[in-house]
Amino acid sequence: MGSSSKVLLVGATSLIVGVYAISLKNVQTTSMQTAQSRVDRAQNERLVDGALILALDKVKNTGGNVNTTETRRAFGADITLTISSANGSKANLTLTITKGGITQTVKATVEKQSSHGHRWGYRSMHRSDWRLVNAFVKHG
Amino acid sequence: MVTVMLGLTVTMNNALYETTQQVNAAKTVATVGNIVDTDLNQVVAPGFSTSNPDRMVFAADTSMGGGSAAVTITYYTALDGATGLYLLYRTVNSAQTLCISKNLVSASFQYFDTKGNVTTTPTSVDGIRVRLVAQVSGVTQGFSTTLNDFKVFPTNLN
Repeated sequence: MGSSSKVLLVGATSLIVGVYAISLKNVQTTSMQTAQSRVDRAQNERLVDGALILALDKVKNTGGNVNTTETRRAFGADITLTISSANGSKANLTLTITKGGITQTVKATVEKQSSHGHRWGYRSMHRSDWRLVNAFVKHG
Repeated sequence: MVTVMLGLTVTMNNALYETTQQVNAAKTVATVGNIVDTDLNQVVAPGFSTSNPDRMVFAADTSMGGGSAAVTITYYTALDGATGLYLLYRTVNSAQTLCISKNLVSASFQYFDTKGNVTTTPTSVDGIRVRLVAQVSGVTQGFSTTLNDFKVFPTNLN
């Protein structure tokens, strides 16, 4: 084999190895994105819970009969919370949570429940007598 | 030298193929997990009516609190005798059943009550663990399966 052929062969080998290396890196990037999406799911859930607690605080502190809208910066996110249909015993919440360019919209209902058979679970939220009755999260 | 070059190419091709298959399987099972996760986060009263390891049936509000009637969502697994793999089905009300995954080595649901204890009583369910193990096709050794194991504690069950 002549020297020019050897040079050509080495060049071709390097090219092939380079192409495969880039392809492997691309696949690994996709793998990391998949793993990250799982982490993001858990993080987003915590973020929503934190924002709902803030909103519950607001309802409790205003006696549950004040309709208002305010914007807060918390948990590294921009949170706009709107309290509507507040009548002292029930209120509707609309939260817009934006973090890292991703926005989640939450619609929730809180009620004043001094005492009854309420189930206590991992994500049960309350502030004083005000409890979260339901919450629906829309991503994007 | 040609032999070395060919050997190198074959090795790298195998590595790329197997890695791609693993990532594709992981991404697919992650997507399936996201579908289940989204449904479970929409659970509303009366909650679960069936809570078996291979089947769960629950009421869900897919209208985001828009006032629409809750739908009944069913997830169940079935063994495909031809492949020896499990199929995961999803049904909404009595609509046509949709197979959302068909390459599962195993698929199971586990349930927790409000104290974190494992339960099989539907009305006691407060949290759900979903465990999906998917086969990585074309890979016979090493990472031949991929796992998506997660827990969901639906807000509206409380």
